[in-house]
Amino acid sequence: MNTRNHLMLDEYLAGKLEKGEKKKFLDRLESDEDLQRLVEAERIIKQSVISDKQELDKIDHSGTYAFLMAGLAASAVVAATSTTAVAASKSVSGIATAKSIGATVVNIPGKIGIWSLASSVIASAVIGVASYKLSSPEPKHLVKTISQKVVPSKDTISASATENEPIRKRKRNLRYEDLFHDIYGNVIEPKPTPINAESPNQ
Amino acid sequence: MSNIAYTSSEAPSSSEYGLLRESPQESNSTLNHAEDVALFQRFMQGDDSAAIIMFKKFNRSIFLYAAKILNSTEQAEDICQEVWERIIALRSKPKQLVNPGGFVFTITRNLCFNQLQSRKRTVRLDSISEQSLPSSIMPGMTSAEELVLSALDALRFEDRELLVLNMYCGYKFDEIAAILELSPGAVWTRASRARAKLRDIITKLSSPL
Repeated sequence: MNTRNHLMLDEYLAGKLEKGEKKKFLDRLESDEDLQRLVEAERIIKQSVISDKQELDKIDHSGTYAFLMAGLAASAVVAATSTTAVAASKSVSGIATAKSIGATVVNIPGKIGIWSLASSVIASAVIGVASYKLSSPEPKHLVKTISQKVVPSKDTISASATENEPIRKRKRNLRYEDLFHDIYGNVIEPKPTPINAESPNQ
Repeated sequence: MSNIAYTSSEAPSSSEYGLLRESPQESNSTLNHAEDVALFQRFMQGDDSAAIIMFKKFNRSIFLYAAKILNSTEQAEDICQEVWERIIALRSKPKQLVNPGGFVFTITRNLCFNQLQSRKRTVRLDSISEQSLPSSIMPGMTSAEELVLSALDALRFEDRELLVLNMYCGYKFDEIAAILELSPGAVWTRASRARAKLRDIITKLSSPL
């Protein structure tokens, strides 16, 4: 890399060379092959940028614009109807759900479909919240408030304990054969009792 | 040697030795902080027409940036939509911005960066047999465009970003410095080096074997 040539070319392109320096640069360009290559590279870059920009400018951004409009409409609906935390969380989860549904079910390129889904979900959620609020003048709590701590009486505890105790014991004592018998009836023949029931250790 | 602005309005318009210069009209200055702040405030207060003005002002630049950084117009379109989605989401949590233009660009930059990072983690099936070739050449490209694209791909992200912002998006170096929150001198020096690297790569790629 010839740094001096690069810098000279940069200054020439920026119009920062004075008349004498400019002539010197042009004279050098006649003889210096390295500088000629750099000028050629610069010409390729400029040509490429101009033609590339022309191509990119032809691209239609109406999809993104429609997406913006849908987003603005959705945000306006949310802002106008409810500012409560419940509504906000519902809309956020609505967007997320709609996004995932849109991504998996609706195969529309871009996010127009997702946004339209999202806006419809938000709208329905908001309408739901609004109609719920209209129908019930006094908002009811979703979670029941417990006014008093429930303390069961000692008799209830002891009674339930005595009722449960034998059942637990019986379950624990159940063997595989017993359980099998309970389900399928007397299918398995009972094992013959061993002659010497006592263990050899005893 | 002084710092260089390639799109300087002082540059003469003649095209000696076939050199093509960007005319001053081409370098669209889109960053006007005071105007942008007012526009953004209107948008945050619920004025949708401000959002439309912002869209018209920034969408082309962020699209060009994303398209050249990612080498994909489809992904660039998705990035633009993601940017506007995030900006609309700001309405729910109001924020005071000093440099809205820079903020819009920063969102775009971060999204592009994430996209490039995710590309590193995944290997495309069709790229396995042609690893040596650029993976996403756009159809209808001229040989010069392909050459410059390959050379840009060979640069570091920071260098490529600077050149894309200057050459494609039309930002001047002092504007880029404001966007990237760097000093203009540092930006000019980095851009000058990046441009030199780009020329060298193009010279090597275009020279006959």
